[in-house]
Amino acid sequence: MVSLENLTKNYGDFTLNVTMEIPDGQITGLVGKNGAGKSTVIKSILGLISPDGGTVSVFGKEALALLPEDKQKIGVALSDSGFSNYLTPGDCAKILGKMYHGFDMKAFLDACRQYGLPENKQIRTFSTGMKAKLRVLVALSHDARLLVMDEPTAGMDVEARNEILDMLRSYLETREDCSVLITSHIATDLEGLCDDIYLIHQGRLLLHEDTDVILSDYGVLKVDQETFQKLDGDTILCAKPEAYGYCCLTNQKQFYHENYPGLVVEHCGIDELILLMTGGK
Amino acid sequence: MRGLLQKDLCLLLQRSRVLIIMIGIGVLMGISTDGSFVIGYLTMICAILTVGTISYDEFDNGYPFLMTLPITKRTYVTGKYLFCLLGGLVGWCVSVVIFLCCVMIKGNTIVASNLLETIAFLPVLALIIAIMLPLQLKYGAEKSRIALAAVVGVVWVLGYLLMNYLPDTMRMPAFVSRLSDSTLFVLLLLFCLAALAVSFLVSLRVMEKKEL
Repeated sequence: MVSLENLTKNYGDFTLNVTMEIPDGQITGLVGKNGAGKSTVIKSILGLISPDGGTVSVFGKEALALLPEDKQKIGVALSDSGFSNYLTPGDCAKILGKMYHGFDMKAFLDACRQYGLPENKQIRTFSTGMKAKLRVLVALSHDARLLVMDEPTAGMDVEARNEILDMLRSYLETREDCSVLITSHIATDLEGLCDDIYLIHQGRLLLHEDTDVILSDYGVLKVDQETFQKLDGDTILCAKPEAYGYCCLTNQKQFYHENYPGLVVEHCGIDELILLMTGGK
Repeated sequence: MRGLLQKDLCLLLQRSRVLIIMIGIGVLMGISTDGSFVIGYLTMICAILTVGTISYDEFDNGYPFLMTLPITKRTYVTGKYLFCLLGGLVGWCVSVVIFLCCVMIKGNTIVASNLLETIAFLPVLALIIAIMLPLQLKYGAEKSRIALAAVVGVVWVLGYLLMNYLPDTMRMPAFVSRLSDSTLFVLLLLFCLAALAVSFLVSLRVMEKKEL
């Protein structure tokens, strides 16, 4: 559904260069630190910026050449951009009703009420969580086949985050062919939602893996200097020096469980993956 | 397009109180003054308020989301011109009604010159929109005010130089004075329509070059 081939974009010293794919019906997560290039990828897919090199295709078309008919099939929730804060959810409903063929006014206004978004209050009076909920509701309001969500849960408490993820899950339950690209700082949000994960750092993709594989096969080894020298280099993806020796990331957790009985092998979540692969502390 | 016009209307209605106050002031002006000042005043206020919807679009980084809606940049620009011209036209109609009512209230009869006087504001409206829209799209709400002041300044200086330093034989008023009022109006209208067309193309280019 979405394909990026050697997408290149330069901003001064920063260069983005990625190749990735979002197949039909797949939920893909894009993780990385601030400034890694996640939003640039999203903007390229939406045709908001023109690439300096490579190709970005959505529904088999160049992203920059997407027609309004194509955009009808895309639902977007951006972290830092939405409807004017001076509009109300009621105004948004009127606008969306005139924009999208598949917009269901009643369902949208019912959902607004369900999630505590007053129909006639200006968005600027809403809390961060309420604004984020509205952005997601707008993205889900018109039966989109592709959802592009940039940090939909940023700055929210755990309850509001779960509400948003539940919204997304119930939308996807009835639309098996819908593809999703979602970015988030909060790894646990993605662990329970995404089929596969791309890790981006300083404009480059460091890893692409199925979420199930990350959670089942990846592990963190905590070893001293001497043990580190004996480890099989092929199964170690990266290592970070620590006070006690090394903290290593492996994609062969079971192998170490079976062959190194005394070794500390910990579970690896997406947070640990980001920290180790991007050299964080 | 309909969605964009709906959005701009919703944004404009957020300032309905300002609009009502301005119309009230317009009515008072119409009663207290003899000329057609009220028409120019209300038409300009409506044009400024409609052009001002651009600042709501750009405020809080609104453009990226707007451009993900099922529209193109061309549709956005076309919608803006349509909305501003319609808004200005509505303002003009309201002000003409106020003006003509005031003429009658004062016990005068409406004559052809009154109507000609009111129509003369339409090319000016087109010209104002032709200047303001590309400036606002290019420079945003704050910087466009400076740019507008600069444009007005340059026009004033050029006018001053033409009037004071051009030889008498080449002066515009001498040439213009030979034309009838209706020819002059048609020429002015054509000039403003041409300015509007050029302005539209410039705005389109500004939007297409804009990285969001």
